[in-house]
Amino acid sequence: MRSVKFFKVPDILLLFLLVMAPLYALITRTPLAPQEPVAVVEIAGVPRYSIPLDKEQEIRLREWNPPVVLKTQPGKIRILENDCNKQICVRTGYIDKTDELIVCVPKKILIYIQQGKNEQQNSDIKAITG
Amino acid sequence: MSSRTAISKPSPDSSTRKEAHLVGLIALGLLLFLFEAYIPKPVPWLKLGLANVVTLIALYWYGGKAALLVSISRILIGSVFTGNLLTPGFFLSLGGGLCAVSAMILLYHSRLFGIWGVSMGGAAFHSLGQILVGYFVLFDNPVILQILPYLIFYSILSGTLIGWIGYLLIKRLEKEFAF
Repeated sequence: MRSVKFFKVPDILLLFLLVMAPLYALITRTPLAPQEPVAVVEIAGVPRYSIPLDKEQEIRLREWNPPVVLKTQPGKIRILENDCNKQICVRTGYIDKTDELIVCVPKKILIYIQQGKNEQQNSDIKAITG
Repeated sequence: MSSRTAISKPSPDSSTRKEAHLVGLIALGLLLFLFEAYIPKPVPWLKLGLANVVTLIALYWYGGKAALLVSISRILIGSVFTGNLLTPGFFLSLGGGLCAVSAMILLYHSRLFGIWGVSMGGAAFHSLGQILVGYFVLFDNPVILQILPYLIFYSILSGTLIGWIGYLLIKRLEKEFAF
């Protein structure tokens, strides 16, 4: 009968490999870049613009005259100027979370955020079963 | 008598004995698998792989084909018992199991490694197989790949323990059954 051995010298090599390979992977890995938030502007129900919220800027929507002015800051967006009666959308101010909305009913504008602040914190996997 | 000669020159007696042994091993593996499936665990997928002891025994007694048979049968029948058949968890198990058995067969037939190495390699490849199935088949989310290094560290521990148990059992059964 082939004698059964618990330990042979190459086992140490295998152990070394199994320690070093994951260690190497852990040391050299680049953290996954968190996806930056994006504001989606829908006009009359159609997604028209997708604005990355990475810097401060003003955007003029020239579909109207005078144009609707959007203002972005890193991670958030608001409507700055809009020529409408009740100014509800302007008074909404900045939004920065995924389930927040800016709505202008008269002009049928809808602005919402994808990958907003609250979503990024929760994007890790919760559980795998098996 | 060597396990290899038992395969190459089967007498009616030894082949019947082999069948009986394999069926017994599958049943035993199933028992361990179910036992482990029902005890509470800190994280659902962090298992010790107790049933792998049985795969080790099959491998050392009857070689690679037997180990494959025992392991795949256990995964299939076990998933019926736990109600996981054809769920994502089942495919994770199957991917992990296939990878593990293949690695163990290769390590065993290289004749370079002891049970420790065979068991540890099997455990590591079990993690690898699960992660690969998880990434390429089920979730397509690179976050999954990030847990692989930790799983491999863990598999060193579990593989060592399982290898030790398997070693003791094989030694003990050798005397009991006088192969």
